[in-house]
Amino acid sequence: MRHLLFAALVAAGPGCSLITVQQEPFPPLEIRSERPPPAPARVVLTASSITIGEKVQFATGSAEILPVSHGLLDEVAKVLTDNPQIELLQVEGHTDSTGTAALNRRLSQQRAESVMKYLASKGVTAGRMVAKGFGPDRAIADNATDDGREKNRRVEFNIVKQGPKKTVVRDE
Amino acid sequence: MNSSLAISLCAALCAAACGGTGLGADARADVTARMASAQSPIVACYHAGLKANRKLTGTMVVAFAAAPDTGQFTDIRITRDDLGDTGVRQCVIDAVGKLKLARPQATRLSISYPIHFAPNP
Repeated sequence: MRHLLFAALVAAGPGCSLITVQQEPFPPLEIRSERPPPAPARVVLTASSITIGEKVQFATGSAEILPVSHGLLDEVAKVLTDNPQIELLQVEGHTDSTGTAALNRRLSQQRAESVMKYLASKGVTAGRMVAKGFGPDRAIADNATDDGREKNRRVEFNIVKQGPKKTVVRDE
Repeated sequence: MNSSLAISLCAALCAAACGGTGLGADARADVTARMASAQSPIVACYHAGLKANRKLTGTMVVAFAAAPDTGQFTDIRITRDDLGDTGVRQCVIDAVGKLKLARPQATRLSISYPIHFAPNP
């Protein structure tokens, strides 16, 4: 008897971790929530253009596309590959009026080409695209305000030529 | 004293010294009520997760301890996570960490609690 009691006391110390009492499972807490409405599409194909809901971001003063815009351009590429009836797309670069017009035209041309190259790298046939830098020539907002200049710095995708809608047939 | 009595005494001593890892009915009811009280913040966690992933669904099992005397929920960890969303996971840990038993026990309780997440149909 003394031996058993001694054994119990020994087990009650460091042996505790060896003793497991199986817990009866709790009924689950049920959590329900409404699905939020789907986010509006960032890239929309219209009759004459591909409109983007975000701006293509470039490194300051450069034609380097920032990684944050890769997803957006991937969606543009998908629209193009899904819509072979778009035969020629003009990738347009636009700037605000800050700086010289010549410099801005050159930068906007380089940025348009950079976007075109990115789309080509994602499977869009290069021959379906043309890059054009307009610099500050096609302003859509007032260059006298910060907000207006921000709106003017943009990339647009305008459809120059398209054929009848074609059905894409993919191999199984 | 016969041997069966000795074994019973031995088991009782062990359980008492180990803090009694089993849960009584009162403690279970208290834990269930505390978890139910966290439903709103956990719904908010889930809703935030659904904004990023509209297909988020599944079971998460939260393991924690209720501290002796205070009843504070501590040592919270996730032992199963079908959702795989680190934001929801951390949010649930934070929500559960704010709970404590209404009727604290003298001993530390170890609890494993499942939570089912599903969007409204």
